[in-house]
Amino acid sequence: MDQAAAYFQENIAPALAFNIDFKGQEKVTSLCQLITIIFSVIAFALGFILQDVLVTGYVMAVGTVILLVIALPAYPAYNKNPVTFLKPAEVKLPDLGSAKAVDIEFSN
Amino acid sequence: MFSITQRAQDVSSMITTSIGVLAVLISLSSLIQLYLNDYNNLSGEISVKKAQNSVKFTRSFGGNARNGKENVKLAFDLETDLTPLFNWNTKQVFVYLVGEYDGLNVLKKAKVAKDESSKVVFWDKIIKDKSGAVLDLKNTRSKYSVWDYYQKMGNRTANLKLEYNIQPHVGPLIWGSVDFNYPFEFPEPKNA
Repeated sequence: MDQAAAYFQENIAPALAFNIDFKGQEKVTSLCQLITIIFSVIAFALGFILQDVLVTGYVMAVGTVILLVIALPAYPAYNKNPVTFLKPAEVKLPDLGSAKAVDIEFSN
Repeated sequence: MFSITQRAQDVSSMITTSIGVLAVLISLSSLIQLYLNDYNNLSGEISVKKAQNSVKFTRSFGGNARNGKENVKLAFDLETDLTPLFNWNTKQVFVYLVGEYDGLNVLKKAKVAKDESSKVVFWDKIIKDKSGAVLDLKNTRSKYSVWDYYQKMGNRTANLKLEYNIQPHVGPLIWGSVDFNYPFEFPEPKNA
């Protein structure tokens, strides 16, 4: 069971994350906020003019679907600026000379 | 917003917040609409066609085997227009015909308020739509056989009025009444 969970966490979960980079996150956030405000205003205005609360509900439902379509999938447009990591540096281990590992025996 | 689950959570919080704000705005706008429609000053007409008072000795009519209870039923004509109460935020309006009359003040020694009064409901109706808001009832019989806390109802005068309760989609409940200024005297019981 533990091995299956570890295998899942290491190999399968990262592929399901659908990450986007930081510039893409900024784009998605501002776009979602804009769409939410626009649809809320339209929903209230249409509902008030037509005097029907169901119209407000339907407009907000359409707005929710549009938001999910915009935000959830990791579009390539959101991954245009990937994070650049530094190359791993060459690390020189210190020279120990003739020292070697010693087994320590504990006597009673 | 880095992973799909985080983006789903953010979208859900944005939608929930906007729905909350919309609910507040809808209820505020409907309260303003009611105020502009002058919902407190409705008028109407009523006349009681028939009234009967009979003494009942069963528990389902408020009495018991030894002491009877006077029960009143009536038939009335009612005319009123409740359209100002309906806007986009009105789910339904519950109207009920009440008779309000003074208490007997029998228990003078007990800590009973001197100005006790009773209210009985003769008839009620649920109105779901603006089209049903114009009430024009002819010879409608009361739905409930009403009785008082005390045995005596005959010869007491009641003030009839139509009270309503606006139940909105979002927002607070609103109560009001249509006063007819129609004093109605309960008749004497047939079987004493």
